[in-house]
Amino acid sequence: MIGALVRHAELLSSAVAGRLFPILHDAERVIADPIVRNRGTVGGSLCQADPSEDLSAVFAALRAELVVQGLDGERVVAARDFFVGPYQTVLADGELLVAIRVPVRPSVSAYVKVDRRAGDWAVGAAAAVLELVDGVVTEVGIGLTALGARRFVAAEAEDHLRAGPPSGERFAEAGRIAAAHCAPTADQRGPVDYKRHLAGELVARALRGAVGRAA
Amino acid sequence: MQVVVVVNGEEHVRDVEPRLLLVHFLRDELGLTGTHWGCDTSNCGVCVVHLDGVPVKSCTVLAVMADGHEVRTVEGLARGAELDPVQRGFIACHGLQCGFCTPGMLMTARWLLDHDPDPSTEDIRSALSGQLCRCTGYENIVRSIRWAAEHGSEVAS
Repeated sequence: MIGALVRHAELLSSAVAGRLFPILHDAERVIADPIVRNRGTVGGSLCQADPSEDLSAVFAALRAELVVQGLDGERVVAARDFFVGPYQTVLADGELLVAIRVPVRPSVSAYVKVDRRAGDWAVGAAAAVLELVDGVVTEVGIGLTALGARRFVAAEAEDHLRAGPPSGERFAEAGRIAAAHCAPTADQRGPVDYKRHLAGELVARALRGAVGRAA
Repeated sequence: MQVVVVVNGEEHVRDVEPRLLLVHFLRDELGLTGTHWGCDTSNCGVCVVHLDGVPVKSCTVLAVMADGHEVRTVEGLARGAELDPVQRGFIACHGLQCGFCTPGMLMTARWLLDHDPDPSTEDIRSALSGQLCRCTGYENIVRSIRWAAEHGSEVAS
């Protein structure tokens, strides 16, 4: 459970968070700069719902649950159902995000990001969380940042990997599937074909990076 | 709203609008214009001050959020007539040209050296990664902070 007002610097310095979910530290290291991380909060980043924001894809990959407090009580929203569009969330008037719950299961995870300079928003980034049992992927979460993936998730790539071995070949194919299904837009950070290439490459790298931590 | 903020060891009580930013509180209410106001969007880092000992960009802190807390600005670096080692370092190594980014650079440098008295060039660059300088290309700023690390314990002449 991460309180919505936990600051980025606090999450980055949490040994427990880093041990259970290395993906959180991967992402926090590349969110803005050290001084901004001293003030910015995890909940603030999620509620801003910037399509280039890093933690949205990370918590989508982790299948986190967001605890929302309203005037009449509390409700829990899956991270994957929290975002309805750029800068838009399901929060209604009178509701506040108060906490993020991340299920603690044996997993490996990683987040990889390409940006133009230190502290910048992502050109593209990918989040990967894998649960492995006896050499088989039993569950997988793949998130995409700034690449036009619906709900920040590469669902078709997840479907491809589930119930198979965690092989480099399958990871590369998952990347190709993710690239084919995302819908990046051209801007000053790059054209669509480049971003699509990034989606494929970063998904494969994030998956390999996660599995590389299994040993 | 009434706020009570301790700035450089001195308590200040003011009535402020809830929307007033800390950087404007320092500059316009208290007359402490050493803290500069740059991009207003937490990109440039010229407005860095310490809030309860932690460096923050004061354009993204509301004055009311500093209520009951301690702020240290660039005016609070020198001890009387004796400049802080980071200030002396910037003089010794020409760490500034126009000087606009300097207050923020100095405050981050002070915090860095308080936590790591012997930072590598890489550590310094990482600590300053949220601050922009359009004059020096950063080389002299990094040298200035290394100078402060090496001469920090010496008494200023």
